Amino acid sequence: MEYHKFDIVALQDIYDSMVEIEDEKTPQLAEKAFNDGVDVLKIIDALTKGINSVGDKFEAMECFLPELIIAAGIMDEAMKFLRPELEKKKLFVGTSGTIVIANLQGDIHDIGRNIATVMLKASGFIVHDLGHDVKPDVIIDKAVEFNADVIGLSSLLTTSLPYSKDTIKLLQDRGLRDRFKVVMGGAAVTPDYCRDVQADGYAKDAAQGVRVISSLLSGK
Amino acid sequence: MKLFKTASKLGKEYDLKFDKDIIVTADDKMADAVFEGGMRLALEMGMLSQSTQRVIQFEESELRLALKVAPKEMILGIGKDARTMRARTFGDGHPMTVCGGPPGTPLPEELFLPVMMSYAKEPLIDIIIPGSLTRIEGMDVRTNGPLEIRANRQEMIWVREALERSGRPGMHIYAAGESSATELGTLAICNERYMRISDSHMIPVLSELKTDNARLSRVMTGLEYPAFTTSLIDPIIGGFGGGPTGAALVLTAAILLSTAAYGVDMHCLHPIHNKYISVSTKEGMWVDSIVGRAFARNAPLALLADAWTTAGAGTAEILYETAALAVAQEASALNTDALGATNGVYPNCSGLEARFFADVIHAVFNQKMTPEEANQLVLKLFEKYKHGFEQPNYGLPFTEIYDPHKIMPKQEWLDIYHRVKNEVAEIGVEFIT
Repeated sequence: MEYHKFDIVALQDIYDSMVEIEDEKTPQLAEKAFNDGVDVLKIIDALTKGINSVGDKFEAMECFLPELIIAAGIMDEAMKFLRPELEKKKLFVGTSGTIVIANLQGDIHDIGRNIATVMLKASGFIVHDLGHDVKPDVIIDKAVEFNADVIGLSSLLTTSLPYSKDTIKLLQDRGLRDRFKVVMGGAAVTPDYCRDVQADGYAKDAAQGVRVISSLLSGK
Repeated sequence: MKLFKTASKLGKEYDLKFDKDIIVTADDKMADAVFEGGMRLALEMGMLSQSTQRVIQFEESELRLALKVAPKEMILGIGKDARTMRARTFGDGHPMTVCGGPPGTPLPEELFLPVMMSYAKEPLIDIIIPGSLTRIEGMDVRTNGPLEIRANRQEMIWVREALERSGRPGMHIYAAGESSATELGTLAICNERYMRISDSHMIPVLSELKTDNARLSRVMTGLEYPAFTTSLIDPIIGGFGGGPTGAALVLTAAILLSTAAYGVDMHCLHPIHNKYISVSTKEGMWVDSIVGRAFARNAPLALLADAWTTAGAGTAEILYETAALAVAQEASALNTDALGATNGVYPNCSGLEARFFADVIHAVFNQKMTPEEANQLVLKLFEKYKHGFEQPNYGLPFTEIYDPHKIMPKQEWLDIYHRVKNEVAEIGVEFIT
C-alpha cells in the first residue's frame, strides 16, 4: 500500500482515518477541516487517496470486502456536505467516467460485481450497478439513460456468456457500438472469449478492471 | 454487513487465528472453536432466500438433529464399481474416496468423450465428475435456454459411455449435470438413461449463506428422485465473511445450514481466494483443513473438498499444486471433489494429474502422515508453485498432452509426471507405485 503524507495535519488525520476505515470519525474530521477553513478540494483529495489505499489493502488481503464497502460509504457521507460547497463555489471535481455494470442474463452471482463496483467507485468512477440476471436490452437502455462511457459485463457462468454476444450485437443493431466501451470480467470469462465477441476489454479481477477501464477511457 | 460483524465478533471471541506457516492444522482446540462458532453463526444468520427475502431460521436442536441423521456412510455406484463414501474421522482406517474429472470445466464437444475417458481409465479414481458442454452441435448453451436440457443429457450419455468403454459402467457420477446451472438441467436428467439414482447432483449454497427458489427446486427434485445430493459451498476468503477465519466460520455455518435445509448427503467445500481464486492458496488449504478437522471431531459428515489449481495440465506447477492439495486434504480427514485445472476455466486437463492426486493420497494415507509432517510438506510444495498465482502457467489443451484416439498421455507429459513424482518422493512422500 502506498502511504500518502500531507503537509496539513487535518488532511493527514482525514487520510489516516479513512485508511483505518473509521466510519463515524472520518466524515467528522472532514467536516471539521472544512469548518476550520481547509480547502474543500484538498479535503476531497485526502479522502480519495485514503479510499485508494483501502483498495490496495483489499488487494493485499489486509482488509475485506465489507470494509471496502464501508470505506465507499464514508466517502459518500463526507461528500454529502462537501458537494454543496463545491456547487456553491462553482468548483468541479472531475470523475474518471461513468459505468453501468451488470451480471449477464441468467447469472445471479453478485460478489464479483460488488467488488468491482466498490473498487471502481473508489477510483473515482460513477457506477450504476444494475444487479444480476440483467437482459441485454435493459443493460443498453440504462447505459443510454445514464450516458455511460463503459458497459461492464460480469459472469460466473459459462452458460450466461452468450448473452454478452447478444448485448454487443444489439449495440451494433441500434447503432450504438461506438458510443460505449464494453469490458468483461468474472470467473467464466477469458481473454479469448472477449476477443471473439469483440469486447473492448477483459479484466481478470476487479483491480485489473479499474486499470483496463482507466486505460480505455484515457485512450492509452 | 451483519454477517461480517457477526463473524468478526465470533472470530475474536473464540480467538481464531490464521498463521501462514500452519496450513495443515493439528489444533483441536481451534477446530472445536470453529465448529461452535460456525454453529452460532448459522443460528444467528440462518439462510436467506433471495426469492422471498425470507430468512430460513433453525433452532440449534434442528441443526444438531440434521447432523445426527445425515448419512455417515453410503454406497455410491453399482456392482463391482460401487465405492463407499464416508464421513471421515481421524484414524478411522479408511483413505479418502477419490473423485476424478474436470469439475464443470467447459470442454469442446468433440473432446468431451476422450477427456472423460482419460479419467475413467485411471484405476485409483473411485468416482467421476463431468466437465461441462457449453456448445451443442455448434450452438451455445444458455442459462434457462432449451439447450441446457440437451447439453445436460448429452453430458450424461458421454460420461456413461466413457465409463462403459473403460470397463467401469457402474461407477458413481458425482455432481451429474455440470452443463446446466439451473434446475431445468437437473430435472432433465432425472431418468435412468441419464442420472441414475446411484449418482448424485449438486445443490449450491449461494455466497454467503443464501439460497433461492431455483436451488430449493433442486432440493425438491432430490427428494422426489432419490439420487444422492451434495451441496456446493464457496465462501470467499476476503469477502463478506472476512479473512480466512471468517471464511472458515461461514463454511462451517453453510455446511450446517445446508445439511438441515437441503438434506444433502454430501458437501462440496470450495473456499475461494478473493484475488487468486485457487484453493491451493495457503488461505484456501487452511480453511479446508480447519473445517475438515472441526467436523471430523464434532460431527462427521461426508465432506469433499474441491482441489482447484491455477496451473493447467502439461505443467510441473499443476502437479506441485496437486500434491499440496492432496496432502492437505488427506491429512485433514476430507474426501476430494476432484482437481479443477486452471480453476475450471480452460480445457487444459487430463486424467494424468488426477492419477497423481490419487498417488499422493494413497501414499499419505499409508505412511500415516501426521498433520505436522503434512504441514511441512505442503509448505515446501507451496514454494514450488506460488509464483504461478501472479504469472499463471495454464498449460496445454488435451490434444497436445494426450493421444485423443488411444487416450494415452504423450511422452512429454508422462516425463513431467515422473520427474515431479520423484521430486515429491525426495521431500517425503512414500509412493506405493
